[in-house]
This record gives sequence, structure tokens and C-alpha cells, in this order.
Amino acid sequence: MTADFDVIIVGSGPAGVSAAFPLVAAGKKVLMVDGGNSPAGELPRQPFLAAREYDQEQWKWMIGSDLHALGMHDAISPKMRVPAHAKVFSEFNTANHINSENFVAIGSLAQGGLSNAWGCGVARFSSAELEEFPCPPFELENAYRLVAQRIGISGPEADDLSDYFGLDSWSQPPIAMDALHERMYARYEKHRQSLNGTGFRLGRSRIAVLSQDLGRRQGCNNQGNCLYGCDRGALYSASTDLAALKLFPNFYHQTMVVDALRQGDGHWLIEGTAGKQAKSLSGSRILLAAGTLATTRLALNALQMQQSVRLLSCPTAAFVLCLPSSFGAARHTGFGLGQLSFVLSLRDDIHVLGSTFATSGLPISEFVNYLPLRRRYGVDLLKALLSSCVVGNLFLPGNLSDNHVSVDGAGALHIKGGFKEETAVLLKTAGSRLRKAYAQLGAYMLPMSFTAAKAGADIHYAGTLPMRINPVRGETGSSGELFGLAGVHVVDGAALPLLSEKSHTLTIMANATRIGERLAVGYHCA
Amino acid sequence: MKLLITGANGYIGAKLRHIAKDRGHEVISLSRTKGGANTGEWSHYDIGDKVPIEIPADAGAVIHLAISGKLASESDCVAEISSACLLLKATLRSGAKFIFVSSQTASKDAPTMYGRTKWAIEQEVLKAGGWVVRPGQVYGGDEKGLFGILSATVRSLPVLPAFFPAPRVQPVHVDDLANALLAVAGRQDLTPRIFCIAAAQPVAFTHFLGLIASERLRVRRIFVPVPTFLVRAATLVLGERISIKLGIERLASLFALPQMHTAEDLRSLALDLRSLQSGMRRATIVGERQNRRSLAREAKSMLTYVLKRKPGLAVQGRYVRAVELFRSGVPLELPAFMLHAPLALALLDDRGFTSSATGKEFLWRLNTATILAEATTVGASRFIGIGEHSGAVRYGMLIAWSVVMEAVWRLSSFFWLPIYLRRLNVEFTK
Repeated sequence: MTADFDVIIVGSGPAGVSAAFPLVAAGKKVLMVDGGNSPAGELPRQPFLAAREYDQEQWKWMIGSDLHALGMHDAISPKMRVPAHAKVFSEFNTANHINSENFVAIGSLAQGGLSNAWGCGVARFSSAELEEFPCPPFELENAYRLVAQRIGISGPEADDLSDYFGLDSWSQPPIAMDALHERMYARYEKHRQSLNGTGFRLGRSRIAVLSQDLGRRQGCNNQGNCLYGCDRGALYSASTDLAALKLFPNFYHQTMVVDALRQGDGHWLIEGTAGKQAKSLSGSRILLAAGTLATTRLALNALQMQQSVRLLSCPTAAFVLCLPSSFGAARHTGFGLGQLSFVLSLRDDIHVLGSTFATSGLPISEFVNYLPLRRRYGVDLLKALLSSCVVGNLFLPGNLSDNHVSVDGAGALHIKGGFKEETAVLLKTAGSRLRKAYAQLGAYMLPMSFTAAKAGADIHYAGTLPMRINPVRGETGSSGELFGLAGVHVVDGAALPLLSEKSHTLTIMANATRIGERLAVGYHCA
Repeated sequence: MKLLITGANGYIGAKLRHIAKDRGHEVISLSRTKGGANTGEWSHYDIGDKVPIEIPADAGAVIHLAISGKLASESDCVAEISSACLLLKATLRSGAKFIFVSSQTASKDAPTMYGRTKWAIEQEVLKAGGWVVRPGQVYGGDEKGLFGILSATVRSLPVLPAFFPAPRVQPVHVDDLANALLAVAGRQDLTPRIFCIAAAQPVAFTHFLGLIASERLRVRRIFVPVPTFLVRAATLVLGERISIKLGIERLASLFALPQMHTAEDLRSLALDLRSLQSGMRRATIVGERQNRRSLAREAKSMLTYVLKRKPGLAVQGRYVRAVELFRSGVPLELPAFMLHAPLALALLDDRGFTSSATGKEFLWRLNTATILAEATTVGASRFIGIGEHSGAVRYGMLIAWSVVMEAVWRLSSFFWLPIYLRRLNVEFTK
């Protein structure tokens, strides 16, 4: 019996679409399945500040016609309250039978997956980091270039982080910074030497956001709606790529939440549900790109593996910086994602990466609850203060996390979150060293604003089924193929052999592209 | 369980019958007349009859609520006691539990015959191994019993007496009392004794009347101070017989209510009484409309507090919708002055309150009001100063102002919150 498809890709996020392009281009009959949620919600139709001033219906895109944001008081990030993203995050854990303890578990059933709501941070892993990958480095180098050119990234021609990010030759010009960031950067250029001596380097953020038009997507015009949804399509979302894939006659797309993999007669079956209907489809090869958590569950169940495996995630924290020199400034519309990024070396082997963001696009409601002030006066204070503030985040390498996942008898995935013992101290050190570094830039960390997040809040999940040169059960080979399950490949974050402090999305996409290319030409080693 | 209820057509009896049936109990009403429709199984029972009554062998409990009209003379009382004893003996013979519904006024030297009679029956019941439940001031549900008289009075009189020194009552909603009776009937792990069922904290009788006016009848009433000694004097002048007829005696008994310690009993029965304010509201469509109206008032107050100006109607509507969608839809019980002067919400907007269990809901709504207020054009100027002047001096003054005001309100909360929380009957955690 022949299979319905040459390749079935489970998931239409960044990994899924990246693996699909080379396969489709090579003429393979490819089916992509996803949860089918449409990510579209209401978007602001004017530049942010104008919309705030005049749009009587602004609550529809800030809160949602169904009052979405109010049902999400406890969510960890403002992104999850945004109505345009309501369908991105919803129902994932229930549909995929995932439960967690001390861990923020997030995934997506939407077309385009979590990329619909990501911070667009991109980076290339260094050659030292790529040594952990069981494939010749050129394969990934080449894939990085293909992906960067396809999705469109912006950044400077050169700055102190050029080598660290390694993407400048493929970048569009950077998006203009706001006045606060300009000021910090100008101070950095003056104090570069002493700051670099303390292990602090500053540069522009490298982001998957267009500054110039690319295909149907328009370049950023600094209208400041990044959080609530950009109607120009300047921010990359895999749903754009999904639309492009659909133009190929040999590409098929269906809605289905996959529940299990089963070995058929010379092919693989995916079983699951579409709506309430049970569904089963067959393919010669299965590519798992459902997102690290969902993929891990499918793989561990298919392997019938009960023992727990390690899940990597980046310990993360956030803080607020105030620039007294800008105190009293009026609000201005500005870019809402990372503008400046810093790298701080804590030890030779431990680096911290973080970015700073404008506050103008963020609701004050996000901050006011943390102040030791009554609401009425908290709003007063923030109104006066936030126009001279930026918010920052930071990430530590994934090996400092201590999360474990396992499947139970019923096939549900349990996640237990935690950190390595040294993490708390490292975070504290990072906080105090950043405080000093930014003070040199004229930006003062607000007292008590440095807050470490719960495990998993970074949503940089990876490494549960790592690729190895000599894989064993629960690991994958150089083509992401699960050891013991020939024909099933892991192409998302689950297959990464390491997780550095860098945003790992671009690396996931490059690795998926690489595996897709290998399979397209029929080359892969188990 | 098979339950026999005497006085099943009365204020408490009718409600108890209803709730017991809803819970799947089999109810046999013991009363003089069959009463309203759908009473289910019924046996004739007249407390005046001196004939022994037959209790079915499979009965689980007999709940004795019946009382023979007015106890105006010694002989009435004796008759009352002896008929209760007849029922008690019959019940114990059958092996069922006997639960006697007594009164807060029950005491050996109560000022009224009613109180003394209830006490005498209690003694017989306890001696024979039966159970006693002493309810406080029963209210809510149908306007029957004393609650009915009080409601009718409030409805018909534009001016009401505010007695001083203020007599205090311990209210209990009729549904909560019914639940308590069913709990006593059903529990096997407790030993027979007296259970006092009412709010642990007494409230002023005037406050109680005020809530009948504002929450139940939605009318405004003026209270005129009346010294309690005038009422006492009236009973002395008129004599017991006439006082009873006029209902003055019942009033007088209010002034002599001993405080009941109910907390322990409520705990042992795992009962959580509803608040007086919410219990006063009618649980009907009318009640829902009242809820929504109260919610709208709450919305206006909360949003004004955050916005520092009157919110638009649309955003108030969204607040009401949010509370109905994500929460119970029940309005918060904010003190009335906060509804009139929203600035006073700053008293409650304090960690000492918002971190307590009761304060959690307040905090949710305050957060909701904040998010909703911000997402308006008015909110854009209030929250991020669009269309307003900026500048370091102005912003500096704003920050100084917010810090000073915070200090003022924090001090005010420090003194006011403990008083308020004691009234709310919650633990003060600070």
C-alpha cells in the first residue's frame, strides 16, 4: 500500500514551513497539518498614538470585542492579553494533553504557530555552538542564509554585536530607534572602552522585522502597533510562508490536531482529530514541527518511553530603566520590539543576552499593579515616569534550566520546571552588573523592578530529543530522525542539541531547512 | 432521607421543604392544612391535638417548626410544651432524629412567654437526646414570619424608628437556616446539643431595617431616633395581653436578645453564611435587574476612581459585562459612601485589604476597571498624557502629588480598615 503523501509535516510554525520549502521545491507531495486556529484578530488601523487619541473603538484591539484581555489577568505576558493573539495561544495545552508544574507551558494551535506573537529576535549560533550539531557546519551556515533572506531581517551594517549575531550581511537597514535609545547608544559610544572592559557590549537588536518592503509585506513605518498587531505585515509570521507554500500544486494543508503516530505497512500514520472528527492520514515520512512540547509528547509516546527527559529553557528576567535626562518628555510613537541589545559576559562560558524596548506601546495597566501605590496615584506616577523609561529583558543559557518532561500511561505530557542551583546567583549578579553598566549610559534601573520569571516564561523550549552523532533511544540523528523510529524526523526546537542565551528561532528554522534539503535530495543518515 | 417537617407551610418550613426536595430528600409535611400546591406527601398534624402521632419507621428525622399561634397565657404554654413532648416521644420511638427549632430568645428567664416556652421545650428535647437549633433573626425569601412583618412595616412607613441604645440582631438567611437544619439532620458524627445558627457578628437592628429598605425594597426611608425605654414603658402600661396582640411584645423581646456564639457551630456544620447585604436581595428576575443596577453603580464608582473623571456609559457597560462574563456577576458590597464619593475607594485600595481573601475580588475588579479605563480616548490622556502638557516640572509635581496623596490615604486606611474588616467579619492580615 502506498502512502497518501511523501512527507507529512505536523505543525505550520517557523520549523514546519522552513522544512517544507525545499521538499516542495523538489517536487515531493507534502501535507502540512496544524490546529487550524486563524491568528487574525482586530488590529489598530492608525499609528498607535493617533489611534489612542481618536479611536473610540480602541478597546476592541486593546482588550477585544469578547473582552479577551480581562479573562487573561493571570497570563505571564502582555502579548497573551492582546486580542489579535487570542487564537494563537488558546486551547494548546488541553488539545495536546500537556500539564505543567512550576513551568509556564505555552504552545499554539494557530496557523503559523507561536511566530504570530514572537519578539522577532534573531541570531546565529556561533561556530563553537554549532560544533554540538552532528552535521557539517556549512549545511547550517547555508540554511541560515536561506532563511534570513526568506523571512527578511533588519539590523545595522556593523556594531559591537556584529560577530555575536552574525547576520549583518543578510540584513536590511535597521529600524530607527526612539530618542531614549538614541541617547543611551550615544553614551555607550563614549564609554565603550570602559564598558567593554567589564564584559558589557551594546548594539542594535537583530530582528525579523522588515525595514523595507519584501514581497507583499511592507517595511516598518514606526507606527508603534507592534504589540497589538502590525497591519503592514512588517513582523515575520510563519503564516506568510504558509500562504506562499499553498501556491505549490504539490503542497497540501489540512486542519488536524495530531494525537499519535502509528507505524503502518511501509509508511507512517498520523492519527488525531479535526474538529470533533477522528482522522488518520499516511505518509512515507513524518516531520514533527508541532513545537517542542507537543512534538516531545508525540515522540515519547511513539517511542513508548516512560522515563523523563530534560527540557531546556532560558532563565529570564525583566527590569525597567529610567533616563532622568529625558524626564518630562511627551509620549512618542516608536518601534515596540527590541531596539538595543546587550551582551554581558558573566563568566567565560556564560553570557547573558537581553534587549530594551520602548514603553509607549505597552499598557500602563501592565505596570501599575506592581507599584506599592494606590491605583489612582500609581497611574499618576507612571504617566509622569514612563515616558522616560525603557523596559529590558535578559536571557541566560538553557543549560541553567532544570526542567524535566515525561509522558504518563495515558499519554499526557507532564512538565516539571526548575533551575540549576547556581541560576539564582547568576541572575542576581547579572542584575547588579547591568545596573552599573546602564548607569554609565544614563539609565537607572528602578528599584525592585528587576524580576526573575518562572521557568518556561521565556518560551525558548528546546533540546528534549537532541541530535547526536551517535544517538540512543530518545535522541535523534543528524537528520533529526528519531533513533528507533525510521522515517520520523524531529525538525523543531526539540531536536536542538543545545540552547544558548540567544533567541533560538532562527536556528530552529535553519536546522529545519537543512533537514528538509537533505530529505529533498534523498540524503540522510540515520 | 425521609424527613418529617411540622409547620411545613410556615416561613421557614416552606423553604426547608423546598430545599430538602431539591436535595433529593423525601419530605412529609405535617401541618393543619395541606397548604400550597405541590406540597407532596402530607399528614394532618395540629399542635393543639392531644392525640399521639405515628412516625413512619423509616423516617430519618423530624424537624419541629410548628408553633400554635400566640402564647398568651400559662395554659397555652403548657399545651405547647406537652404537644411537643408527644411528638418527641413518638419520634424517638421510631428511631428518627428529633430536631427542635427554638429561638434566640429561649432562656429560663426570658422576658416573653415565647422565650420561656421555647426554653422549656429545649430542656425536654435535650434530656431525651434530641437536637436543638436556635436561629437568629431569620430574613430573606418570602415575606413571612417576623421578616414579613418587618418588610411590610418598612414598606408602609416612610419614617422608621432608630432605637437607641441600638438593639443588635444576628441575622441568618432562611435558605442558610434550611441548609443548617438539613446538615444537622444528615450529620452522623455530631452529638446532640444546641446549635446556634446566625451571623457571628451582631448588627444594629436599624442597619437591618435599613437594608430591608435599600436592598430588598429599594426605597429610601428616614430613621428617627426612638429611645428603647419608651417601648418597654408601653408594654408595662398596656399589659402583656395587649402587648402581644399589638406585636409590641415581640419588639420588646428584641431588646433583650442575648448574643449567641455561633462561629463554632457554623464551623462544625461547615456552613458559610451569605452576607446580609447579598441575602437581602431578591433572587428573582427583579433581583437580577437589581444586581445589574448595583453593578452599574459599582462600575461608575470604580472607573471614576481610576480615571479621575466621569466615565462614559459604554465603558461602564463593558465593566458590567466583564463581571458577568468572568466573575459571579454579583456586585461588590462597597460601603455606600464609596459609591457616592469614588475617591474614598482609596481606603480599600490598600495591600492590607487587597491581599486578604475578600480583597482579592476587589483587586480583580480594580484591575479590570484599570484596563478598561485605559482603553478609551479619555484614558489615553489620563494614562499617557496624550493631548496634555508634558514637561519635567509638571511631571515632577505629579509624582510628588501622587506620593503625598498615597501617604495620606495609607494613613487613613491604617485607621479605617481594621474597623471595616471587623465588620466584614474577616481576619485582618497585615
